[in-house]
Formats: sequence, C-alpha cells, structure tokens
Amino acid sequence: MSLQVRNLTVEYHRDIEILRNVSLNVEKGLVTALIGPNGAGKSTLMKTLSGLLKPKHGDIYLDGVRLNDLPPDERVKHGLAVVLQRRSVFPQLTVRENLQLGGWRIRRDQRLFEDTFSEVINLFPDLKPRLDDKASSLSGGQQRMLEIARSLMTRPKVLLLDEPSAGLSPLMVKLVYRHIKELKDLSITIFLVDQNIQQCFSVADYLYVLELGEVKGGGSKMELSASLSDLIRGWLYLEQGGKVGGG
Amino acid sequence: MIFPLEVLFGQLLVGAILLGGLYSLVTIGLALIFGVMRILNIAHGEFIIFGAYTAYWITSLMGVDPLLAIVLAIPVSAFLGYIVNRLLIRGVTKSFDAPIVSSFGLLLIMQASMLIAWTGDPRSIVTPFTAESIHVGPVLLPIIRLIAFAVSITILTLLYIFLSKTYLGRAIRAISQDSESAATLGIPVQKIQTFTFVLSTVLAGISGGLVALLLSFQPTFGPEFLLKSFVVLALAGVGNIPGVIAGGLILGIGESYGSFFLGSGLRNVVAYAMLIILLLARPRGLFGGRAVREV
Repeated sequence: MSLQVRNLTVEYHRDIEILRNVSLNVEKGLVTALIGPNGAGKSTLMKTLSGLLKPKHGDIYLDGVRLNDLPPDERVKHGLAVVLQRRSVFPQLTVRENLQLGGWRIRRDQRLFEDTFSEVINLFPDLKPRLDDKASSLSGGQQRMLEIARSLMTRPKVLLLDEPSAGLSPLMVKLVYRHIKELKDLSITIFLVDQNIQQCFSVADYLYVLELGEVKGGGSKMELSASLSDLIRGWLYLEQGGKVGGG
Repeated sequence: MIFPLEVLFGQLLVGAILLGGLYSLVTIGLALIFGVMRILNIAHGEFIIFGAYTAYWITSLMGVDPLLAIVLAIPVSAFLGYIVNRLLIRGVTKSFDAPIVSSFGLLLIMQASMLIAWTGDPRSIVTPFTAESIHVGPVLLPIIRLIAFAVSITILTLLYIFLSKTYLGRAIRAISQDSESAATLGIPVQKIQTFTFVLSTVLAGISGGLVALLLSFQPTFGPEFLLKSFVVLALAGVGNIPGVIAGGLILGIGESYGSFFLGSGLRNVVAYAMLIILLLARPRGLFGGRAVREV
C-alpha cells in the first residue's frame, strides 16, 4: 500500500463542501487515475493531498505515515511529489536551475543528486539541449515535461499529476503521456487526474470516478470500460446543469 | 584646458554616482522583501535609521572604528528583523494589504520609540577622514563617500553572486516567482522567507550605518529613505540587482543635477517627480520586462 485517503472532506468556505468522505487507495508501482466531470473536485483533492489545502476531516497516509498536519515541503520529504495543474516552472530560472531546485531535499548528497539528475535527464532527453535556457523560453509541452522531470528530482514514492494534458496540443498530449507510460514502466507509483479520459485509460491500472465531490465507484480498465459511455453521458448532463440529455 | 563649468558638472556627476551606489543598497532590502514575500514594508526606512543609530552608539559608547561598528551592528539588525517578522509579518502575509498596515504601525512605533530613546537631535558619525578628499585631476573625491560607494557595490555584488550561484539564493529567486510551486518541491518556503526578511533588515541596517557616515540623521528621516527606495524600485521595475544599481545611480544623478538647478530644498521634489513620471510613462520601470518578478 502506498497512498491511502480515508473519508476526506474539504470545504473552501464554511459549509460548502467540495469533497465529501472521499476514500481511495493508490497502490505501489501502479498508475491510479481519477476521472470525473468539470467541478467534480479533482484538483481540490490534488491540492489537499499535496498540502496546499487543509481538509475539514479525514486522513491521508503515505506508507502508514499520516500527512494531514504536514505542510507541502514536509510531505515531499516523506515521498509525495505533485505536478500542479497550472504552469508552475520558475520562468526566470534556467531549466537546469529548475531541476536543481527539484533536488532540494537531496542537495547535500552530491552523488545521489548527480545520479538523480542524470536519470531524470535520460528520461526527458528533449530537455538536455535546453538546460541553460530560461524555462520561460520553453513551449507549453516542454514546460509540462520540465515540471514532471523536476518533480522526479524529489525522488518521490508517489507522483501526483494534476491534469498533465491541460492546455496542450494533441501532439504534446501524446508526448506527455508517452513519458507517463515510461514512468509506469519504471514502476513509479502515479496518481493521475485528467479530463482526457482516453489517455487516462491508456495508462491507468485502476480508476476512480469522482462526481460532485464524491467517489461514485472504481475499478480496473476492463471493469469501467463497459460503463464508460454511460458515465460520460452522465457527466455531460451534470456539466450542463442537468438541463439536457438523460443522465 | 578644462572649463570651470565642466569641472563643476564633473564634480556633480561623481558625487551623484557615489551617492547613487548607497541609494541602491538602501533599496535592495525593500526589493528583497517585496519580491519574496509580496510585502511592501512601509517601515523599511525605520530599519535604515535604526541601523544608523546602532552604528552611531557602538562607535560613541565603545569607541570602535565606524566601519567595524557597522559590522557589529549586523546582529542587532538581524535580531530586530527576526522579532518583527515573527510578531508582525508571519500570519498576515496571506493578504496583500494586512502587512502594509502592520508595517505602517511598525513605522510609527519605531519612529516614536527612537524619538523617546534618542531625542530628535541630528546625529552623525564623524571619522578621521570625514573631511578628507583625494584629487583625481580637477575633481575631488570625498574619501568617506568613496568608502560608502565601495562598500555598497561590494555588498550588492556579493548578494548578486549569492542569489545566482548558491542553492539558497536560487531558492529565494524561485520563491519570488512561485512560492506555491517551490513548496511542492520540498523547499521550506516559510523558513526561507524568514531568512530573507532578516537578510533585508541586515542590508537596511548596513545601509543605515553608511548613511550615518555621510549624513546627519534623526528618527524621523525614515520615510525619506522609503521614498528614495520607491523611486529606485520604480526605475528598476521591482527587478534584478543590476536594475536596482542602475536605478540608484539614476536617482543619485537626477537628485544632484536637479538640486543644482532648482535648489537643494527641492531635492526630494525631484525624487517625487521622477517617481510620478515613471509610474505614468513606464509603470513596469525602466528595466522591468513584462514578467519580471525576480529579486
């Protein structure tokens, strides 16, 4: 068992709950995905897991360690890394400096740091010729890859990816997911949130469905694929305020 | 053959550049806090004046060399910065306006406390070379201003190297660009913000010590230095250290030539005018790019 979420409830304002009693497991070495319509609370869950939001109640465990009261930087020490939905590279720093800062936790172990840096660069060879360029000069897809590469510099036990395909061209989405598949092949534990259902299904071992802040179910690709078209029809109905369709 | 008017203008220019270096150092603490913590520290000038008094009293009471007194005053400024950050800044940094209000309160408290403790009498540190100058051709270089300029530029250069070449410096720059993202990489944002606040008060203290060498000062002089810092920041575009140095030099030159032509009583009017014109014409500053948020 790697990441466990138990009865997590999160509210932005008093009495407006965005997540209600969310429970799920992210198994070691697997890719677990969370799918759901707009406004389901997927990014809120990611922010809560990474420590940027505090839950009203519920528990988050990583390999048995309770993370609830830890700030984001302490969670990284315990092995939790996150790639935020929005662009989050440091634009005025170089690609190399961005990656180096990902290795903040291991910076004093020179050998481990250099080995990790080499591993990450080998995984993302497109970044190699751009190491001394400012991150702001990269394309949107390259910035996304830098964000993933930078999070791997933390040597995470679990990598949280929040909408990795958001705002990217179809070509770049394919490229980003190709990298996610490579990470999966290396048995890196990933918890993925994305609106791109097709890509989610292509990499995930297990999927959860989140609707209106609640987990409505979960299953393997095989189990969920049969009911997928009904699910999507239901989401369209929810996203349009229940006015059309037949959810 | 050199005409007297050229000599006069040359002398003005040299004096302006030497003063501009100090203005840059005066500003950098404010730029650091604003860049890393998004706090406009209205009490920045009071930290400068507090540094001036600390150096003054160490020199007066212990009889040590004024430059050594500035070094000895560093732990005092650091301690004050740590306490202020702990009591007044942390906890209110999530909103933009609350730290402004609390730092304005701090300005009043520090100013009143210094007035009660040390009266409003003008003071300055007199050194053996206060009235000494060296001749470079027809131009006189006051030694004390040369020292203040050299110390300022050295500190700014060291700070630049620290921010660009060290891990901690890069983390400070990263936090100034995206503190949330920095936290998700395991960078201890709050600790580094505390360090940056203390560093900025130390820099303000050192610049205060240099001010005490050059000018007479009183507890109420803080806002004047805050104004100058605003002008330099407006010139630099809340940007990088080279921009702050250039901004300081431009302010020094503007003030010197402005007060020469308009009269020394209008020295601050020149600074205000520069600030207003800049905000109207180049709100991002002369050296500020479209997205410069670095320190």
